[in-house]
Amino acid sequence: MSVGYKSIQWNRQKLIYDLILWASVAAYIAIFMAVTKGIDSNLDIRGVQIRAYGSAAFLLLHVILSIGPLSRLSPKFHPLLFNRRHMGVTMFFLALIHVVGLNLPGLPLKTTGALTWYHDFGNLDPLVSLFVGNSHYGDFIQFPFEILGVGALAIFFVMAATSHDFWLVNLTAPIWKALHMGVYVAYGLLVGHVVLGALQSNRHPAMTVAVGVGLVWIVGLHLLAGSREIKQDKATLSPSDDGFVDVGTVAEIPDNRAKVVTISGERVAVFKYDGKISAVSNVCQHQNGPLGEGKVIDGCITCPWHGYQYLPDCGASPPPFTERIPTFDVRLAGDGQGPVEDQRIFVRAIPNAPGTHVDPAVI
Amino acid sequence: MILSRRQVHFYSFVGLGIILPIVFIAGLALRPNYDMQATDAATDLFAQAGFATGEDGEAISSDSFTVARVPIAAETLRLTDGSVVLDLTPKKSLPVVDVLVYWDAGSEAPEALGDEAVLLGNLAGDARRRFEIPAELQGQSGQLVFYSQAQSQVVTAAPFAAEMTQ
Ligand code: HEM
Ligand code: FES
Repeated sequence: MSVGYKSIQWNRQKLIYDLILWASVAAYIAIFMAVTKGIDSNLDIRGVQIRAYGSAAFLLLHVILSIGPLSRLSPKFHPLLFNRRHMGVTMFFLALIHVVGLNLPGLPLKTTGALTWYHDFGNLDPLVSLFVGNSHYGDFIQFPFEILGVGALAIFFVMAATSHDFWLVNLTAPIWKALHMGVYVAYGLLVGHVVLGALQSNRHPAMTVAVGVGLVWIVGLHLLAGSREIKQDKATLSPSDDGFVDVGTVAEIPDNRAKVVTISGERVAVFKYDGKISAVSNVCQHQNGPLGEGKVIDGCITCPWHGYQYLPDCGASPPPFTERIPTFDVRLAGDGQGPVEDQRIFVRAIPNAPGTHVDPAVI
Repeated sequence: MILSRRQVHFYSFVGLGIILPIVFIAGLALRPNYDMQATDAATDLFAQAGFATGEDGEAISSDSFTVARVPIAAETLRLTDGSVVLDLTPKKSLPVVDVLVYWDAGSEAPEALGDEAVLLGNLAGDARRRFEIPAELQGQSGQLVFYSQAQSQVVTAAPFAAEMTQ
């Protein structure tokens, strides 16, 4: 972790992002209600609220799912990563309001949810009615689309509940990431929820086109960014007899930046700073961000995602922080001969234990 | 470790990229046709249930009352068949259960429902409701009594002038 970055505390930037986020959500819902009412003033306000909140959550999910691949494609989108978790939690609450409504004592804003509006007028408990009201579980087109929503909401709940850094640390980043990949399942379920639900009765072409464009955008973007990554992983370098890998020349790396190479299937970031070369794992301990896309700031490798910092020669965060990443032995070939910039960098394929000090290669 | 995560990520999107377009296209192609046009039968049923869905008629007069703090707009109309109706539109649903609307004679608001009170209909929700005023009551001044059937008590009564139905 870095001295400058406070993982769980609020800072000005986060507050600004959150205010923008919440203002946009509020504006979207207000405009949705006003426009729908304007089109047909006879519509029941409660049905409109359910749609306003459902579509707000679905739209926000599209934004959230775009940030990952976009920031793989261009670093310009990195600032959005900063607040992605707050977006996720906001999205969960929008979806929850879509389902159970909002009726808190003391809060003037009251809305009806799908559960009360569609399931509370019979002689069954609304929750029972939700699961048995439509029993065409074996049918495609008549499938109870609400159940797909239930699945997605359950996944979002687990994600929102474990979104705090406390869980990230306790579950470890890889498990946490795997858990959070459940969002792709949830996204798939929701496309089903909308196609088999709202699109069945709402035949306006605009709605169909919006859902279709969203689908092509999300899947296309992820496949584009993903195939680039896979290509890079395929270009894996293998060590020679002495266990070292030729990763290129000093000239290829800009000052205070890194070159990312794949050695035996894992990515290594080779940094050049202060006339020295050090190699560390490319994987940030926080949320596995790509360290090699970050810079050396104040003598520390700084993660481009949330700003965790590591000392390049030992892979440890500066005190008082305790994160450690694996380091790699490095050496330069052609010492003293030819132009300095043409010296080739060799990295040992087998990593050292996290936090192990390695003498940097001096150019 | 991280490599495998990236592969899971990529292949889950390959999976979604195959399944979701199929769901999308099949969901649109197989959409059943539900006949959802409102028929005349529905309009009749609404009229029977006391909703003002039919003709607007010729306005006679208008007034407003407050029942259990909810403002109610009242308008009387003469329809083409000669009948006189009272339309009531509450601003929002009344916070009282099972409200019945009666016409009662007299100039004072009654404490209890009189034996001679004439039931006009029931009032619920915030839609425009229509009550037919029987011929013998037209042109008579009296009271509109709002009575909660569930609570067996008069909620409120408002004077109903003779001019309203003349
Ligand atoms: C227990 C879970 C859920 C239930 C019972 C439920 C129920 C419903 C119902 C009854 C509709 C109206 C369908 C129609 O208009 O024909 C609907 C629409 C919708 N729901 Fe859900 N839902 C659930 C979860 C979710 C979640 C988690 C999301 C998104 C994050 C979501 C997003 C939507 C969207 C985008 C629509 C379409 C809105 C529109 O017509 O504009 N739902 N849902
Ligand atoms: S700081 Fe969050 S992933 Fe590196």
